[in-house]
Amino acid sequence: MFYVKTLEHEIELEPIHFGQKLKATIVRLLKEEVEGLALANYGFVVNVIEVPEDQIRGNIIEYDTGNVVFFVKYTALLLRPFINEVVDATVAQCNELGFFAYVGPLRIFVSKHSMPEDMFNGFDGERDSWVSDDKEVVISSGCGVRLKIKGRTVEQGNITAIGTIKDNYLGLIDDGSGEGEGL
Amino acid sequence: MAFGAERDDMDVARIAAELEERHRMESTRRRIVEVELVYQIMNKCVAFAKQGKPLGITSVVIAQTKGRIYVESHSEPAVIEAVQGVRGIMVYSMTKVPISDMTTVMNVVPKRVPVKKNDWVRMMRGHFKGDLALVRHVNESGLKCVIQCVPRLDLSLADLPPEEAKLRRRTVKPPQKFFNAQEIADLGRVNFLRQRFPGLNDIMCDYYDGSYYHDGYLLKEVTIGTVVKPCTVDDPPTLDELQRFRRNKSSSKEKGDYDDGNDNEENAGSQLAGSLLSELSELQGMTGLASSGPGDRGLRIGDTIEVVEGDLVGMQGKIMSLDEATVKVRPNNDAALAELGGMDEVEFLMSQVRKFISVGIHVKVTDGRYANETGVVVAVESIDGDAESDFDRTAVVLTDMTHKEISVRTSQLQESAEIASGQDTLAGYELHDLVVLSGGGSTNEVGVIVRVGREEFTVINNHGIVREARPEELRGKRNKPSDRAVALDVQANQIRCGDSVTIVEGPHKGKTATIKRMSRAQLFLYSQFRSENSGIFVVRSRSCVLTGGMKATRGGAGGAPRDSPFSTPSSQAGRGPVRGERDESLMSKTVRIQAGQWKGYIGTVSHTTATHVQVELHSRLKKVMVVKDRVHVIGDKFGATGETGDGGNGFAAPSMPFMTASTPMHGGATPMYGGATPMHGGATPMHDGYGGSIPSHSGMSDDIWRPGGSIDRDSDFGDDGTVAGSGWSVSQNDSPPVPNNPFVNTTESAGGWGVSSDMDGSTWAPGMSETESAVKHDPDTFVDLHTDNNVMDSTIEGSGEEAAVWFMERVCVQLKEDIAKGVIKQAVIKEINGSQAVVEFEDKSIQTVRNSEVTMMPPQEHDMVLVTGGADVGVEGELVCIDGVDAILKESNENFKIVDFVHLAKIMTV
Repeated sequence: MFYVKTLEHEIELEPIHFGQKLKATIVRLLKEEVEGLALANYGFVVNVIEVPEDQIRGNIIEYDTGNVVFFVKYTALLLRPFINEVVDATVAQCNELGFFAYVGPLRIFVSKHSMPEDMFNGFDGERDSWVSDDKEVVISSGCGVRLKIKGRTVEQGNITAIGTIKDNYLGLIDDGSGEGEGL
Repeated sequence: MAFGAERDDMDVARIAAELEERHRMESTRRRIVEVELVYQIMNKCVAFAKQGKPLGITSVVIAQTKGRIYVESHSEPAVIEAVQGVRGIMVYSMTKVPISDMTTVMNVVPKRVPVKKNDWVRMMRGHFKGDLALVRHVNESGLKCVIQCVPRLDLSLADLPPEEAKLRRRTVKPPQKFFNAQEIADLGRVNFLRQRFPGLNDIMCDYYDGSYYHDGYLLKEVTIGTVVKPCTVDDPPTLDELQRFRRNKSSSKEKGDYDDGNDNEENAGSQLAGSLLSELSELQGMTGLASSGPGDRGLRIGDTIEVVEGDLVGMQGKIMSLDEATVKVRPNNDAALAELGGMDEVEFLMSQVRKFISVGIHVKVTDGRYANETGVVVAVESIDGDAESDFDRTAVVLTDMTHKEISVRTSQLQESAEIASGQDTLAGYELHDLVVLSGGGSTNEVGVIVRVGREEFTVINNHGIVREARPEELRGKRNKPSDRAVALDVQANQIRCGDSVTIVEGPHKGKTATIKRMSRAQLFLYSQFRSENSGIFVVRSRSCVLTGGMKATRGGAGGAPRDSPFSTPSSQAGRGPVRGERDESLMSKTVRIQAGQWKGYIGTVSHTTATHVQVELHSRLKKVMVVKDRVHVIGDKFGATGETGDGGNGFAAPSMPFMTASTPMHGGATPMYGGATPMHGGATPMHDGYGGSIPSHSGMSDDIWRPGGSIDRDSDFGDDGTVAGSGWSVSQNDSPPVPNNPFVNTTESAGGWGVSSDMDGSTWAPGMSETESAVKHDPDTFVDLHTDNNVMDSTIEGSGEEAAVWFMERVCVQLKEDIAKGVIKQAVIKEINGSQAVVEFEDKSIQTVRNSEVTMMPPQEHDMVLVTGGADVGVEGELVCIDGVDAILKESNENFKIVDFVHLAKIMTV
C-alpha cells in the first residue's frame, strides 16, 4: 500500500557544502540517500515529495572533522507491503521453485506451493515459465499477476515478500503482450 | 645423543661419578640431589664458557641408575675439571663407561600404564590387531588381564589340509563375528565343551578350538603392554567400534538354550558399550527425533500455537509458560480474550495444542537434518497417512542461503528473524569460499563451495562442474586473491568481485549477476534468482559486460548520458578513467625496444599493464611483452617522432608510409585546410598542429579521441575478431548485441558517426583509421600503401582517401565545386557508404558524392553543432556564440560548454 508520511533523516555534511546552495545540497543528498531505501517499519521510500526547507535543523560543527549533522524532515511516498494485501505485480523471473514478481522495488516470491494445484508441476524449463495443466495459463517473465502477500522479510535496507496466487481472483491478469485480459 | 661404533674414532669418554655416600642414601628416596648436581655442572659450564674457558664436556645426564651422574666428554681431564668443586660428587669414584655399556646406561624403561577392570584396550598382535577389547579382570600381579573382545573365528580352517590352513591362518584376517555355538554345532563339530574360565570361576564358557567364548565374545588372558595397550585419550574407541562391540539383545536371546542365568540381561560388556554409545550420541546431538517422545511437540515459550482439541478449538495464542504436560497460552485474538471473560491466560494440555506455523513467516529449523537452516515458509501441508499428523505438519521452507526448498516438520521449526549466513562452516571453510581442490586430475582446479554438508562440501569448479569434496580434498582458501583480482570483460572494462555484470553469450546470456569470486578468467557469479548451486554459476570474464552502477562511480567522468546518440564515443570517453589505473601514457606510442631479444625493434604499444607493455612490432607480425623500462618512446601513435619534425611522416616511420601529403584532406594541397580555405579564416588551421605546411600528424598525440585516432585501441580486439569495426563506424559483422556496448552502436547508427560496411583489409574505407591499418600487417595492404604513396594524387577509389573527422551522417556539407563557383548550396549527408555519401540538398535533390568532393559547412551562431574532437567529443548542442577560436555551446540539458571552434561540425536536426 502506498501512503505519504513525514519522516526525519540525518545527513552529515562536509564543510565544502556550506555555502549558498547548502539547502539544495541537503535536499539532493537526502533524495540520493533515502529514495529506494526500505525502512523497516515504513516500507520502501518511493519518492521524496517535499522537504520543507524551514525544517532543516543544523547542529554545531564537529570539532575534529568540521562536519555538521543536519536533521531533515521530509514527506515521502512510501510503499509498504501488508500481509494479505492483494497487489498486481510484474513477473521478473521464473525458476523451478516458483517465480519472482516485482511491485516497483518490492520483490515478491511466489512458490510453486502457492500456485493453484494445476500449476504445481507446470514449470517449463525451456520457456522459463509456469504453465497450467490445460496450457491455458502461462506465467512467464513480463506477465502481470495479481497476488496476495503472505509474508515479509525485512533485511538491511530491503524488504522482500512471498505471495500466493492460490485463491479466487488471483493469478495471471496480463500475459505481457500488452493487450490486457482481466483488467 | 647417539651411542655406538661411530663414536670410536672420537674417543668419547663417559664418566660416571659416584655420589657421596650420604647423598646416595638420600637419593634412593628422591632424585633431587642428582638433578641439583646436573644443574650445578650446567651452570658451571655456562659460566666458564662465558669467561672464554669452555669446560670441554658435552653433556651431563642422570640415567636410570641411582646415585650416579653421567658426564659426556672427549677427554677425562675435562670431566675432572667439570666436577671439581662441585659438592656432593666423589671425584675419586669416577669411572669410565665402556663403549659396550653406553647403550644400556641410556635405556629408558617405559612407564607402564596400569590397566583397570572395565577399561577399553586395544589389541596389538595377530588377527586382533587394532581391535577394541574390554578388560574383564586384572590378575594380582598386574601383568596379565582377561579381556573380552569380538572373536575373529575362521570356521573354514578345520576343513582345510594342514599346510593350507597354516597359510590361511597367516594371511587371512577373519571378519569380526560373535561366537554362536549353534552355528558350530550345525557344522557338525561338537568338539566344544562347557567350562569355567580359569581364574574367573563364576563365568561358564564355551571352550572351542583352544579359546573360551562367553556370550558370543572371546575371553582371553593376555599380557598387558605387549598384547594389549590401553586406549589413550587421543585414541578413544570410536562410535563405530562401540556399535560393533555392542551385541543387541535380540540376537543374544536366540541362544536361549544356555543356562548362564543372564540370558535376559544384556552382556555386561555390551551394556557398557551401549551406555557409552548413548553418551557419545548425545554429545554429538544425534538424539534427534528418536528421543523426542510423543509428548514432545517442539513447543517453546513464545511460540504461536493453535488449539486442536476442546471447546476452544481453532484459537491461536502465544505460549506464556509451559511445564511437563500443560501450557499456558495467551490468546492472540482480542475477541477470544473478551470471550474468556477477562482471563489473560488459558491452560491447555500439551496434547490439545499444536505449534502454529503460517505461510510466509520466517523460521529457523531447530532440530533434525536441517538444523540451523533459516528460511521462509512457503507452504504448510499435513503429513499423509501419519497418525501423529494431528499435531505435526510439514512445512515447506525456502532457505535463505541456498535457495532450496526443504520439508521440515513444524515441531522442528521456530519463528525467528535470524538469517543463517556465514555460520555454515565445516573444517574452517564457509559457503561461497573459493577453494583449491586437489584430486580429480587437474592440478590447479579451484571451486566455490555451494553447499556445506555435515561431512562434505558441494563445490562448483572452474569448469562449472559440480562435485562433492571432502574437507581433506580442499587445499586452502583463495578468497583474498579473488578479492584483489581484476579481470577484463568483453569491453575490456576492469571487473572485480562485487561488480554486477550482464552475461552476453553462452547459456546464461542476458542474465545479470554479481561477481562473488573470481579465479583467473573465470567468474563465479551469484544470482538471487537462481536456485541451483545456491545461486552460483561460472562464466568466463570475456562473456560478460559490466553493468551500470559500479561503473559510474569508478569511471567518474563518464559524463555523457548512456542513451545519447553518441554513446559510441562518449562511453569510450567514460572508459578512459576506468582504464586509467594502468599507465596509459605509453599506450599506442611508437617505441623502440632497448634491451633483450627484441632490442632495436620498433613497434607500437598495443597494451599496457602496470609493469609491462605489449609492443606490436612493425617489422614482424608479432606482439611482444616488454618490461616498461626497456622501451623508449620514439614517436607518437602515428609514428611521427618529435625530434625529426615532419620527418616522421615520411618513410622514416615504417608503419606510416601512407601518411604523406597524399591524403587530400590533410595535405597542404587540400583546399579546405590550406591557407586558402575560405571558411576558417585562413590563419586558423582546422586542427591544431595540422598547419598547412606540415602534413604530418605530429602534435596530435594527445588527441586520442579524434575519430580514427582513438581506435588504435581496437588492435586489442581486432585479432579475435569480436569487435571488428572501429569505434566510429558501425560494422556490419555482428558483435554481440549488448546494451551499452560502447563499440557497437547498432540502434543509433543513424545519428552516430558514420557507417562503414566494407571492412575488407584491402579496401581503405573511410571508417578505418590510419592507425588501425597500421597494425593490420596485411601484406596486401602494404603493397597497396606503397603504390599509393608513389602515385601521390591518384586517389584510387577507396584507397588512400581518408575520411574527414566530420564525415558522418547528419552533417551539413557543401560541394567543393560549388565553393569554387562561389555558390552556397547546403547539403546534408544522409547515408555513408564507404568513402561515398549520399547527400540531400535543400531542394530535396539527392546526389552521391565522394568524401573528397565535399567540405563541411562552417557552423554559424544558432546552428546545431556536433563536437568532433577535444574533451567534449560527441556533445551536441546549439552554437550560441563564437569567441575567437572558442565557441560556446548550449547542450540540450541547458548546460553551456566552451569548445574549440575547429572541433565543431554543423549538423541538421531532424
